[in-house]
Amino acid sequence: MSYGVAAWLEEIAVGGGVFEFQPDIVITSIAPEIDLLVPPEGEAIEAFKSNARALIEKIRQRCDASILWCNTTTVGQAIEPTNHHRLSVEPRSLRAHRLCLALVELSHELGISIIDVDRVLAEDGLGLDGEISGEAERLPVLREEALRVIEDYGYFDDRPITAQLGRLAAGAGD
Amino acid sequence: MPLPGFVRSGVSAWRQVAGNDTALEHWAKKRYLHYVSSQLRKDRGKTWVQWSGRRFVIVSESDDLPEPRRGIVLQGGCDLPSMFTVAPLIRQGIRGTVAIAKVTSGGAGRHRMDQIVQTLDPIPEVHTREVKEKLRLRQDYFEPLLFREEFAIPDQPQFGHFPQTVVVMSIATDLTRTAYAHEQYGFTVDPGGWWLNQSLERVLDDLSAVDWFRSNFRSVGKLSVEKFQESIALVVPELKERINSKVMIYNSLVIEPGNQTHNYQLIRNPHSARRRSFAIALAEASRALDFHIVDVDRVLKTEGVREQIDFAHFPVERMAPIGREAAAILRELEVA
Repeated sequence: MSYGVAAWLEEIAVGGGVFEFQPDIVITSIAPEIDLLVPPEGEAIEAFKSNARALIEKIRQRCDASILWCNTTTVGQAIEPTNHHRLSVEPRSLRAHRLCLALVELSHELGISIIDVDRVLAEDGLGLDGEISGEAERLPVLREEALRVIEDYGYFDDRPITAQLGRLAAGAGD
Repeated sequence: MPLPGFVRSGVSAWRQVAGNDTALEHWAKKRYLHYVSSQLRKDRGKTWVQWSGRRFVIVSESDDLPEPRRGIVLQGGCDLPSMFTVAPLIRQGIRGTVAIAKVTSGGAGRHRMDQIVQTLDPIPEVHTREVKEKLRLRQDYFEPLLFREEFAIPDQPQFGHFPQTVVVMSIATDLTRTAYAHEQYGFTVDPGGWWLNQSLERVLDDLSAVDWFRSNFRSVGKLSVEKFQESIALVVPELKERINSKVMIYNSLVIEPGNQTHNYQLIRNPHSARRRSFAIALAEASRALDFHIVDVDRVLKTEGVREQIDFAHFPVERMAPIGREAAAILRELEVA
């Protein structure tokens, strides 16, 4: 079952989930949303963005964690239609493009970071015939990319970052 | 096309003696370009004959170029020469004759979708004469070349005429080029095709032309996605209805190889977002207008993009996989 942003919001509403501990970093992905985008996809994207804004706001209110959101590759199946005329459902590639664009807009609006899975997987090529193959083999490059972003925030420095200091100060005041 | 080293040295020496832009230099340049574009290579198999030139390839079942003739016209974009790699994929058992050709020249400066739209309504010659002269635009710059029923291979009259069975375009031009609108008459030009290919000394040599351009034109910037949608909704039906052409359009790689940006909060107009918007707009237009997309984005991501210097320019080894994608579409259209 795909576990999208809407389901996550419901989970948070009843308590628990990510807030059971106080994370410094929350990493999530838009990949599950691809199967949840039902026509009309344009409206579904707006619903995703609205839910994502609410989720980001809740995470920041509760634990002020840095949010890293993985985008997804637009190459996902062996055969994609080249003519979209009369298609009742948009192809996977187009839904992925819509979600990736939505994520850039959310990053611009709210300052979340994007783990660019689409770029990282494409740099060495996804392989012939369009099938995503050898996913496990590709995990190291995705891990490296995530670590690079986390390092950019300063989490690997030998001192707390500003957000952590803020949380410490807030905790000290309690 | 880059000149051989000894020719460049000769031109440089000549300019030192005689100066820039002499009549003799223009004559020699014209002759050289004619020589290059008239070069021809012929290959033959058991069931096919192929002629290849700088901007075209013809594949036929025999020397007499029999019917049915199908023509595939390439309009703009430095990614479109990948269409020439279609030839070896369609020549086995070919029926009749297929020509694939880039018939318009003049660089990238005339292929934006809104510029194609403006050719649909003729602009009076009196309004454009000075502009063509000052910016060294081709005489046919404002002509509706894309909407002709037939075309001939430039500098190769022996092959006769071909119908415009398929028109192949690319959104790379729409993504990148900046246009300038005439203050008085409103038409747009993109002089980059000429200016960018000259030495700075040669451009600055005629500063009066720069002043003239500044006082007669204003920048209208890059094509907006809305204007692109509006323009493509005019161009594609016109091609289908006016000349009964089928349409294929190349999309473009949306990611930026090597770009490590992960937070877009302080970036007002990220180009990768622009490319995503155009990829989505193109797919939506395909749905509404019934045309095929050559999915360059998918092919390049499948093959790997690490060696690319930017999104638009891919290594020559990527031409063939893109050609395979295009050949599959041509088979579906029953053109090949």
